[in-house]
Amino acid sequence: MKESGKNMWSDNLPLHSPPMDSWEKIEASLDKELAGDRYHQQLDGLPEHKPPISLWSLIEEQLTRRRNLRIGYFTASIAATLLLAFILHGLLIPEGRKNVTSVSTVTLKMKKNVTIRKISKDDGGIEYSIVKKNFSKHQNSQVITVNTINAGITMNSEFFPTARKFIHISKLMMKPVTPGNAIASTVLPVVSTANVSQSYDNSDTLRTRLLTGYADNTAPPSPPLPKIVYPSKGFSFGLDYLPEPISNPEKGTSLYQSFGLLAQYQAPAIEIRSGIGISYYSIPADFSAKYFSFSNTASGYDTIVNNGDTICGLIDGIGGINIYGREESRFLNYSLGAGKRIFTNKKLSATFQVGAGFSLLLSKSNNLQGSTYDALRNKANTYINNIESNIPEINRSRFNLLTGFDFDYLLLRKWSISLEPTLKYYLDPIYKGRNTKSFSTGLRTGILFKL
Amino acid sequence: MQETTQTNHRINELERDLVKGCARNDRIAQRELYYKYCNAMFSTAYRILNDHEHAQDTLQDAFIQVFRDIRQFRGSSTLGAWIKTIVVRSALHKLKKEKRLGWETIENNHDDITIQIPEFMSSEYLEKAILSLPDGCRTIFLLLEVEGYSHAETAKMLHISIGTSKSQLFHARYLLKQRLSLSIDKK
Repeated sequence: MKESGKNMWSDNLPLHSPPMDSWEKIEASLDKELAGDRYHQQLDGLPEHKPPISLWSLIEEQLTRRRNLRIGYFTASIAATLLLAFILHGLLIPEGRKNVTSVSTVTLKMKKNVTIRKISKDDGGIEYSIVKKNFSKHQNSQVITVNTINAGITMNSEFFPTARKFIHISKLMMKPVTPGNAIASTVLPVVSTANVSQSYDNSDTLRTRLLTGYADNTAPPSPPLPKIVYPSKGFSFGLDYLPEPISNPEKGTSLYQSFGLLAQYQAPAIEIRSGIGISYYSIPADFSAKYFSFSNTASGYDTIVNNGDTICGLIDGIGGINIYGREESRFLNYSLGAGKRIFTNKKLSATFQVGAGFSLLLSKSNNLQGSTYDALRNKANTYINNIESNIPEINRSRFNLLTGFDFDYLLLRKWSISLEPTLKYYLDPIYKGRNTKSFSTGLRTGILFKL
Repeated sequence: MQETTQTNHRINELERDLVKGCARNDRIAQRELYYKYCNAMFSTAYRILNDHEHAQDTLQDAFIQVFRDIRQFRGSSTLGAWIKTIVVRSALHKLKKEKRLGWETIENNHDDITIQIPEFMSSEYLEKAILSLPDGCRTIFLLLEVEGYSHAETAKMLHISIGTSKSQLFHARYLLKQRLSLSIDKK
């Protein structure tokens, strides 16, 4: 700054006075600011209210009840799984293995190649049979053939007098390894067995006719061909994936993706299915930040608000901030369903499925991707003390009803793929207080391994 | 500046211990947290709802939610701010559920309204004047002027436009100024 009297411009230019009411305007403005400060001080000092003392005991009681409810849910789901496993276990065991009993055999009479036997079972069942064996030796090959016919009646004590007649016919071929008495080794499998109630032909027509009582000139009817049905009775495990487009509260529709483990029991007419898995729901979200300024003096920090960076200092301070990113939620799912098979052929089956399930919120996280802010207030050292999503609260537990058409296609002998258009009805909306759509559609895909 | 940061760190450590205790379902920590914040949170809920019983219900629901979601508290804000957000949201939810939130169409003719609160006026009387405002504009006034939320945040919480938030604030200020002037005249 130059000394006064040496600036030719300031010395020579005329002097101007401000208007007469300028001080009054400044004074009014100062008064207004003072009134504003007092106003905010008064608002900050509004009286404090106290809740009744009994409120804590109510909260405590509700917390205990919630804990019990959570244990109840957990126990119920475990019980449902065990029940399903128990039912499937019962259905899975082949009929012949359900009652494992020991037997004792008594030879009642034996004459030449004919034996009459009585077999007593531990469960009280009795079996009488006549066994006739016929030996022959081939001259050239030295092969000894033993033809056995075992016919009789077996009676079950529990359902007596229900009895079942049977005839088993077998052919055993043996070849001596060395000349002499050593006979061993080449044992061919049993040719066939059959119940007498079924028509039977094993190409040895003479013997069959004799046993089944057909006349020599009458050909017995052919045995019925087994019906090829898919999927046959059995138990399968697999993996599945179900994407469902669900309306999010802010920006259209996002995919609710479920990945799960599947246990399935299938009989010719029905299918029972239980699944447990994880769902993932990620939606675009805006986040709001809360902040306060320490002082009016500038500190000269730069500001970057990134993932997790919540503290910033600014030269000018911030007036408004917008943070964007995604809100990501993860759920645990459990479902139980049953189905009626409506179509089957050798490779493909279609089943109408109904069921119910529930999902529990496991975790929720904010994935901040970027931010924009305006420097509006003339305050510095701004401290961002809270960043939170503007999305409403998610319901922690949700129940749903499910229906769908499950198409299973047999790829290999034990492997099949599954495709199922599904319709779900959620009893609770995904967001609290939001009337989001209760129905959702999806396409479940899965791969199953049959045990 | 450094002192403030150190104090914040100490507070954060105390809060961290409380949060850890609550996350473990430690009933003593839960009780301590409740008694630390219950008055401030009850006052907030009461002013928004203008009803003691409803404020009690809201406080109960909010604290249950706090204890349920405490594991999600990452410490990006102060614990008090986080709890206050839950309380405010619960109170707003209650207001909406009871269909008490209505927005009158207001032509924004008013100039910037400066409210002058005389020094002799007690805070109890000022609060009564605020509570006498209609539910909608009172809520906006409280969120903006008392709780310190911005217009954008308030608009998002209430699912209204920023313009509505601004006009309702002007309306609330206008009504409050009228009511306070009346009381000053009487005195």
